[in-house]
Amino acid sequence: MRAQDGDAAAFSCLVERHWIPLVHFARSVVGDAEAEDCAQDGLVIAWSKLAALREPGAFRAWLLRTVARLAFRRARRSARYVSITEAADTQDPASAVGPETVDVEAVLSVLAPRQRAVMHLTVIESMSDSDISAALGIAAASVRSHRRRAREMLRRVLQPGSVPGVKK
Amino acid sequence: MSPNDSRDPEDRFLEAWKHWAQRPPRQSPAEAAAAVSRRLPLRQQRRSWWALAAAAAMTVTVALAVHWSIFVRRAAPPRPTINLQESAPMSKGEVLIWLDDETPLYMTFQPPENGPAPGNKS
Repeated sequence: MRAQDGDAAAFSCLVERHWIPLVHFARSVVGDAEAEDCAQDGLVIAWSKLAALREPGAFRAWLLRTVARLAFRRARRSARYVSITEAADTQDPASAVGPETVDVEAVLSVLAPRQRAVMHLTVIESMSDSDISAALGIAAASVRSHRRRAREMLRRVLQPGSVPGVKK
Repeated sequence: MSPNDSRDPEDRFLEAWKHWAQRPPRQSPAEAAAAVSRRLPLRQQRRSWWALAAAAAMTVTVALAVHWSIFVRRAAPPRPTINLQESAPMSKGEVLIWLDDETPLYMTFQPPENGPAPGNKS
C-alpha cells in the first residue's frame, strides 16, 4: 500500500473512500455533534500508525478499530452513557419514540459505547460477528453478548410503562 | 413513521437509527480528505525531527566505531605470519617456519618407521 510508504495523496484517496461510513459509525457512538471530529482525529491517528499495519487487506477493519478506540474514549469522557435508572430520572427515552419523530440520541444514551458500536455494525453495516470482532478487537462471543444486552436494554426502554419511574 | 405504524417499537427504533446515522456528513469526502491532509504534515514534521535526531545519533555511532576500529588496529601488535615459501629446503622430518622476518620456528619429527617412541611399551 503506497500510503504506508508515506504517500499522503494515496492516504487522501483512502480517506475519501472511508469517510462516510466512519462518520456514520462515529455518529452512533459519540453522537452527531462530535462524529466528524472523531472520524477526522481517528484518520490522523491512523496515518501516524499506518506503518504498523501488517496486512494492507485488513485496512478497513484496522481503520474502524482505530476510530472505535478513539470514539470509546470520547464517549466515556463526555459521559454520554447514562444508566437506565439515570435515564429514567432525567429523561424519558421511551417518549423519544413518538408517532412522528424519534430522538435516536436520547435512546442511544442508555447503551454503553461498545453496545452502540456492536449494534451499529450489526444493524446498519450488516457486518458478520467475525467482522465486527476483527473491527472492534473483541471476541466474537463478546460481540454476541454486547448485542444481546443492547437489545434487552432497548426493549426495556422502548416498551411503554416497562421501566419504573419512566413517565409516559 | 405514521401513527398507524404497527411494527415492534424496537424495529421502529432501529429503522429510525438507520436513517439518523446514515445522514450525509457535513463535510464531503473530498473536503474531509483535504482537512485530514492539512493535519498530516504536522505529524510528519514531528516525526521528521525524530528521524533527524536518530540519523545524527547513528552517524556519530558509526564515526566512533570506525575511529575505534582504526585506532585498535594501529595499536594492536602485528599478527605472526607464516611464510612457508621462503623456508629453506629441509631434510626429511624437519620443518622450518618463519613466523615473521626475524622469527624462525624449527621443528623436527621422528618418522614412525624408526620404531616406537620412547616410553611407548607396546
